[in-house]
Amino acid sequence: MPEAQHEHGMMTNRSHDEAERQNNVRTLRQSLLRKFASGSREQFYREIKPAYEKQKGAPLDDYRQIREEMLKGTYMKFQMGFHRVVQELMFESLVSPVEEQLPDLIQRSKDMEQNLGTLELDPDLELPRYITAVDIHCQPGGFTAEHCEDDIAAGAIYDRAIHIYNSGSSGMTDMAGRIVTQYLDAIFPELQPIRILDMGCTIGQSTAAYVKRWPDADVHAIDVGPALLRYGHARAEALGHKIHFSQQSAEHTQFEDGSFDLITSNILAHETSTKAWPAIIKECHRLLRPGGIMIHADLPQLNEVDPYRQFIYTNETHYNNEPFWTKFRTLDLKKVTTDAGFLPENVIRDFSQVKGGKDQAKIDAAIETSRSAGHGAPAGSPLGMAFIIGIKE
Amino acid sequence: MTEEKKIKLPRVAKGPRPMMFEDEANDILLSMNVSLLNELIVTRQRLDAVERVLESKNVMSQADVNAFTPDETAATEREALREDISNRVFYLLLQQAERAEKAIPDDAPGDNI
Repeated sequence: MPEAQHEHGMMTNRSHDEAERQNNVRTLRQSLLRKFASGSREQFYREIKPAYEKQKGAPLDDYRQIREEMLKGTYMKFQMGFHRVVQELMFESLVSPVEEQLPDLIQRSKDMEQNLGTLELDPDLELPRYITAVDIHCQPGGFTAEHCEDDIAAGAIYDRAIHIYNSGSSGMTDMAGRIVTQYLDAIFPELQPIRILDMGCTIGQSTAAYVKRWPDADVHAIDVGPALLRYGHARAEALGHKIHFSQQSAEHTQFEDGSFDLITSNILAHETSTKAWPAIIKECHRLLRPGGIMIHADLPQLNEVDPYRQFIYTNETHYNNEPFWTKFRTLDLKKVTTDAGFLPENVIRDFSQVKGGKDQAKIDAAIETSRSAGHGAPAGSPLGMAFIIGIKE
Repeated sequence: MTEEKKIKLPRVAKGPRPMMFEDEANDILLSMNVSLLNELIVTRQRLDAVERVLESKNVMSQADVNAFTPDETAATEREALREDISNRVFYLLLQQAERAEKAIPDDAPGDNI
């Protein structure tokens, strides 16, 4: 039974049918998509791979060739077609109520202000092309569109989308952030950051996990999308989280050298570009104080998963408006990090083992769902999120 | 008082819309089917909600619904309802059949049904 999303003062209201449309999309992802995914996996290992290898006398281990073979059959076409349709229906179910309530939502975002945190927008910020070229994840309008004054639509849509996307496995939608704090607690038990920066925060749903874990820290969150940030600020105020949001590109921020003890990002990396990601790591190196830690969470690289998983992974590029997904997954992340100035001995590549803790079952369920949808690490492996970590010398 | 102008949000995501099948009609059919499934479930859930609300207010029980036997009039109307919905779902094929039927010349050989 999926957990209901935690409702807060900024949530879009839903009629019975609007809520059911959203719930049903979640269920389709959780049940049918999962079954299709395990079916195609079976088909690959039991039929397609053995038949190909018998006929060609060569291993079927290149993900591009796997795609070609898999798409010869009807099953995979239906699976991918279904995947895409469910994604479109998800946004259709989310956009309608937000559109209907937009003026009210904007008013609520203003009423929510209690000056806990802050919001700074920069209308002159040049939006990076890698964020604006296509609407990432097929969210109509993408992360940066503004449709009216003080618009918050992109954030309102995104808030309920995260919950559907995580198949309702986390009521609070800060699961990705909690995976990071759990990992940091295990590896750096002494860590007590005073100033934290969360990059590519969208609506600050993961940032919330850092505020909860280190309530005395000064927590900053940046993104390039103004409507996401407005919504994120109002959401944080509604939830009583003190977060300082500002509209900045992670490639070059306004913060001074050595400003932060901890810099984080969650599934930001694969939305950037071959040029931008090294620039972001350089910026992290500049922003960390000596001994400070950066940790970026994304999914494993292609060479860290089996060929079939590589094929499933790269589907995202083809079918879910993720232009950088595949390219990012071939980057040598350790090299990028040392090239940016981190000493080799201070760079760590690691995976969340997600063991223990009261939310274990929920996290496991979410990771499993994400895996079967083609995202996470191979089924049966202990890998969850993949981290690239750098410690400033 | 002037009506506030409604803000229109985009419904289409910028970026290519990949088609999985050689014939794009299959992709469109698939999207129609999944949407239909979605709407059917929403309606079924609404009906379930109505039944539960009525039960909680002691208006009727779900057992009443299960025990319901239509009388002759109701049975006829329900049969028409079934047909009506099927016809709606298969409207395109039915239209094609109708067109074909009209196109058949009166003097065509065979049983012209």
